Amino acid sequence: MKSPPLGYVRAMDMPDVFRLRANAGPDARVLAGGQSLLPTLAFRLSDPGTLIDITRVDALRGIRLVADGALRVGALTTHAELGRDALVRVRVPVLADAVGLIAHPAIRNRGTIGGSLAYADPAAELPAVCVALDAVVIAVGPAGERRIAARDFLTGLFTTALAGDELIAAVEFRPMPGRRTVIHELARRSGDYAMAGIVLAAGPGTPTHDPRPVFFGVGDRPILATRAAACLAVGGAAALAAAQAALDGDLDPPSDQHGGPAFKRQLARVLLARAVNSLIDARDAR
Amino acid sequence: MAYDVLPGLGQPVRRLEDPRLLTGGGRFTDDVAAPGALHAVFVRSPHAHATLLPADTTDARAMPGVVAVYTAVDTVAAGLGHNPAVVEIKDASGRRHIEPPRLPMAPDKVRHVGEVVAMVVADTLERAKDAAELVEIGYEPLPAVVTGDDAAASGAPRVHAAAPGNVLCDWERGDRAAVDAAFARAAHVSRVRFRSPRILASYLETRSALATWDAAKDQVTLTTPSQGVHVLQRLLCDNILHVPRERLRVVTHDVGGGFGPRLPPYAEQSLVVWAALTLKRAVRWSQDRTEHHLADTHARDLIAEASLALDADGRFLAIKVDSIANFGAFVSTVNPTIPTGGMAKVLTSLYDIPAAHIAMRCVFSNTAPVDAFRGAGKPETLVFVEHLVDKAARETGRDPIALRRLNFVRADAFPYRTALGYRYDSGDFARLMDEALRVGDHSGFATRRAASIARGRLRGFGVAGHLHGSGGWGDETSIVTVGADGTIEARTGTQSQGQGHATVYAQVLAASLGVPVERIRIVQGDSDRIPRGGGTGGSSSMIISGTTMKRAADVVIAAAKDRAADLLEAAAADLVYDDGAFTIVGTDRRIGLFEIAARAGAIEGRADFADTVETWPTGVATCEVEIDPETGSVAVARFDAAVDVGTVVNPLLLAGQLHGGYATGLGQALMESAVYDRESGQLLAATLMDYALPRADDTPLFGHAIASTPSPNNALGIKGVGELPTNGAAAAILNAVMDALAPLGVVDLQLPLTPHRVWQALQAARRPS
Repeated sequence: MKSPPLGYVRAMDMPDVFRLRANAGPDARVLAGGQSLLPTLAFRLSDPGTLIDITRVDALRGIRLVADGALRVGALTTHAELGRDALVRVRVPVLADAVGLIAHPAIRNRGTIGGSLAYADPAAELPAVCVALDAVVIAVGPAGERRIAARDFLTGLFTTALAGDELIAAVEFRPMPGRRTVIHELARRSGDYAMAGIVLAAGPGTPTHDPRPVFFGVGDRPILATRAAACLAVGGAAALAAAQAALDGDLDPPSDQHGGPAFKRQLARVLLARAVNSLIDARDAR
Repeated sequence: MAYDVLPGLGQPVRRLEDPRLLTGGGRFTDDVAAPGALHAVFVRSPHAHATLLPADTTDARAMPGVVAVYTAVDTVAAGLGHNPAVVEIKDASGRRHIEPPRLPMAPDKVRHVGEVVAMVVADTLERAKDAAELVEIGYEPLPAVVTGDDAAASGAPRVHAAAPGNVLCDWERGDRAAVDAAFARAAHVSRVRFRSPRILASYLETRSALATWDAAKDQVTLTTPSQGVHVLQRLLCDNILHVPRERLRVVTHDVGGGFGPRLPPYAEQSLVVWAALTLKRAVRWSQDRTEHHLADTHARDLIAEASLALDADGRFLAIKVDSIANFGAFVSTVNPTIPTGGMAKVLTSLYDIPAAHIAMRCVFSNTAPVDAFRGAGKPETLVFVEHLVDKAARETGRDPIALRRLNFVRADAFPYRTALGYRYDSGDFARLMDEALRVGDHSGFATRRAASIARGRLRGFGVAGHLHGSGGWGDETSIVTVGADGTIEARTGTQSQGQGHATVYAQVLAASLGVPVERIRIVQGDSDRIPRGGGTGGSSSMIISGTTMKRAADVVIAAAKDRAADLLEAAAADLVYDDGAFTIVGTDRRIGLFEIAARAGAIEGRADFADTVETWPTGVATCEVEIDPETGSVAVARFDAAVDVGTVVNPLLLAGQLHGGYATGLGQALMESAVYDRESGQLLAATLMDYALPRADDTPLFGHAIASTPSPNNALGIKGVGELPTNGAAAAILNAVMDALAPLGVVDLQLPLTPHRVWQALQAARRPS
């Protein structure tokens, strides 16, 4: 082990989680897939004192339809499970599409949707999908459950609306008949975090109906491009160019290792065009 | 013809070592069990440049399981010495390069991030790591300088008091007057400014060292991945530890990649051995990936302004280079001759250029030391030389392929002496070009370009001449022993790092002795069992060990002959050796080599290297790229080459060497960059999250054609191939990218060709000026 000395406890159910967390103190971290947490331990960049393993908590598992027709995806659902689940494929196919863009198989086998949302990396795929689909994050704490819209859940760079004693129980995707969603990203190499990415949901009907373009990798969190969406909704031959131009007002990308703001804006314009075109192509193909 | 020297060579024998390696039989340093061994962890400088204050190790020493904590105070008291360069360069006045002390731990200052400042030895790795966090090192940070041009600028922070202006050598080569005269009468001059990114070795197996203590022998055995045990043993014993060589045995088992940076002795190896000698206990250390990035030698950090003079017919008249080579914080083992001699060897590429001159300022900076990495000064040189040739073609309205053909060294000109004094041994460059264009399907490019354009993409075709001048130390004694048990053991001082020596050496011996390759076992990497050896580096192992083993095999046959005569009760003069046995001429009476050994005892043959290490493998590479003009992303769609590699020993291993070398060059061209922050001196590529290596889907299917001329420089006609492909790959890729972008107005591009950089270049070209 490369990590600093730490305690490890395993929770078997939710009351266990809350009890162990209360005992372990504020620095303790919840361990799910561990794909972001364990490297920080290996580099000794974090020193949580105690890890609380939640992977045996059944209440956090499973993919099922709930009363109002929404698809409830348990927080411990791994990317690999998400990618091969039949219900997901039918109800929210873009989730499965997104999985193909996440890192590599070894990481998809361990990483979880709850972990991805809680970590809140601004270049990650699943948080952007959740915002584009207006998903609801179900947080659970000792006081009970709290439903938080994904766009309100992601509050900034690696930060969320979770309270200190809460964790993510599940994510719910409500049914949206006739609506289609695509995901595109531009990455340096296969499996890398995206230089920039887009999730575009629209419909029912034409891609100009209630378009919801959400960008990732170009801000401190997934960004819903409202100005561009308004331009797309106008429709017509000039809509795309207007929407691309409007991105300048929607996005204020920071520089990163891939390039500066001007380059990021360019990638966002390209992605918007490619996403719109693939929605049109998909419609034509039906 | 050298081709006929050993008719058995050239078979596509599958690697003899693979069944063992693929079934978990590999034995790398970390696989070696050492019960009770202590674990070492190194504390490294977080500062690029700082004065060291007294260290406080009290708390660390008090931690459970900690056996020792050492700092420079201890190693200076013990007299640990300088880790020297083993080659030297001189300036025009004959003054040797400046080489400040490079101690295992610096007593006064740290000069790059990652430099070792303390060593913690404990009973477990975890306890050593925990204690390492408690070592208190005081630093007074100093301004740092990380790039070559910043280091050479006036007023730059000084890295070593002994090197004013940070210059360790103002190196020159060539005839400046002749070059100036040629430029004065040139019809056209083309110029490029080039910055080669710094790159990392990224071997799969990080470095490690295990020092075990033998009380009875009063000897330490250092097991460590290396490119040769003898160089390590010599420098560790004679220069750094000051112990007799009998007290240090150096062993290397399997090695997961070398490429050059595995050759130098490093501080960690000497400190682990010293700790074992001091504590009289086994001590081991294994590097993590970030330590590899921070503290192993880096490569290629070069700035060059180059010019090529042409006459009115397009003939090259002269080439000149003004250059800055960033050596990093210290002079590493062989680096004095890497950017310098490496550039000089290939500056004239495949062309007949009558005059050439290099002025190179070699400078220190607050970065990890730079040293040889696959290609060793040549890939970066060929990038700007071949770019320059393309640029000259564009500027003078010539076809780049025709311009190359016009200027190729002619096939009847060998041996050819270059303007910088090297002697190309053999070649046929026109044929190489023909074969390269054929294997690269140049004639189909226009169709493929049209298809790319139809999809909104740009497509470019690039060619690059390239070559290598094999180097290294021929300090080789090969010992071939035919055992009574029916096997042959061959001992050699070169060292495989994964490239398949056990197979190709066995092929040479099998061809020499007429026995099956499966009977032959190659022994390497043990300073006790192998009398001497120069190790592996410079693409010369096949030349050095291959030719010497052939000689040793001839000694074996000569030695076996008398015994065969006794056993057959015949006159030695009547015996002929063929197909693994002696036969009495004119009869069917024969005795096999193994039977002789079984009946009359083991037969040993020894030989020393007696050929020339230098050979000149050459190639012409072709590359096609597809570029997304909207995002700047570059995909290598095709990459092929024609190569002159002399005698081919094994076409499968040749293909493997070529593919690996092309992939290495592709990484350098498109993505690899070990960049330091200019202000803080921090390495911004400390992990593989920040340092991009090519993945399988970044590389095309590589093709090659062989168009060999045997080298007259050694008995087997072999040319060293390990570095050749790396030398030309980045150049061909840059030329392909420029072929696609130049029509849009892009004039120059720097490596790596990241999407951002390519897009920016397109933007700048489109902007009305």
